[in-house]
Amino acid sequence: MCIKPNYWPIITCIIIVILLGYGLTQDPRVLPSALEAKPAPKFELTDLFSEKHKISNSIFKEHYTLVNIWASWCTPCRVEHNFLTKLKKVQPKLQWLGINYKDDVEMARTYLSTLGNPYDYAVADEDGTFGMAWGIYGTPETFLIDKKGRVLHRHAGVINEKIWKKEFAQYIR
Amino acid sequence: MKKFGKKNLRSTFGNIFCISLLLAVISTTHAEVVSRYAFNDANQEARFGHLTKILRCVVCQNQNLDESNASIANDLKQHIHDAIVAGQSDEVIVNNLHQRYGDYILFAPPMNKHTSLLWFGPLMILILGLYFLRRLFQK
Repeated sequence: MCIKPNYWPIITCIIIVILLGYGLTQDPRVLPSALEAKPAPKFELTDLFSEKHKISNSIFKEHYTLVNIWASWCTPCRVEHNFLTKLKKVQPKLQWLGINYKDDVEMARTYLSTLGNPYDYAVADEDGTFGMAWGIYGTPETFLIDKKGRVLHRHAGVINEKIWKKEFAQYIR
Repeated sequence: MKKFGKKNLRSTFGNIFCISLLLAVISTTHAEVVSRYAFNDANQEARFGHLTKILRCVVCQNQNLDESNASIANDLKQHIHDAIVAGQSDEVIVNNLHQRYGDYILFAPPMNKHTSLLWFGPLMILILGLYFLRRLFQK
């Protein structure tokens, strides 16, 4: 089909408008993680409930691990916590690592004692070093790590059932 | 001629007071930013100023680290300060943060296949526009 030369400006404008329109449908707040498909950064943090006990990347071996960054001062984390507690019961094979981010340790312990503790391992990142190494923007954020210690997926924000099914469930089958 | 009455006197002093207060706040704020990060020399301080201006606050959309007071921005500024004092080069510091946060932390994104439309798109549209204008005037 031969298009008349007069129509090319209009066609070009329409293509540009479509591209810009597509751009408008993208949420600028959704930022991809630079760590996806890469090995998880190495860490060693103190157990939240035992100062002598240290947790490191070695726990990722041979387990799918959900790494959840949270804080007692974080309101969205409280919203998410209910779902995480329920999810823990239906995902017995999934290992859970909770990173308490820039928080008071006593308040963090009280938070888990009161609301329930879904984490197999709970550690404290008091100065935010872990968070910066993992490129987090804030709390809550959740990473899924595979059995070889690679980051499969990162979600910034509250996780609910819809987001779990859409973004995480596909990796754990 | 405007009378210099009580009302004008009050508004003049009021304006002077407000401007003085504003200047005091600005100068103390600047002093707080400068004194929070201690450097070994002026060159380090200049590098810190440069890096915090070319790196984006990752939660603020359009602010650089220097402008932002967000918690993560303060953490990143502290990280940059510590890295400079430890002797790391600007390139190493930027690459380190780029690896963790991706292209978004850079105000000037790198040129690759993912950003080619961003870099060359406006130029292409301009060239197309000039081409069509030329054809229009030729007719």
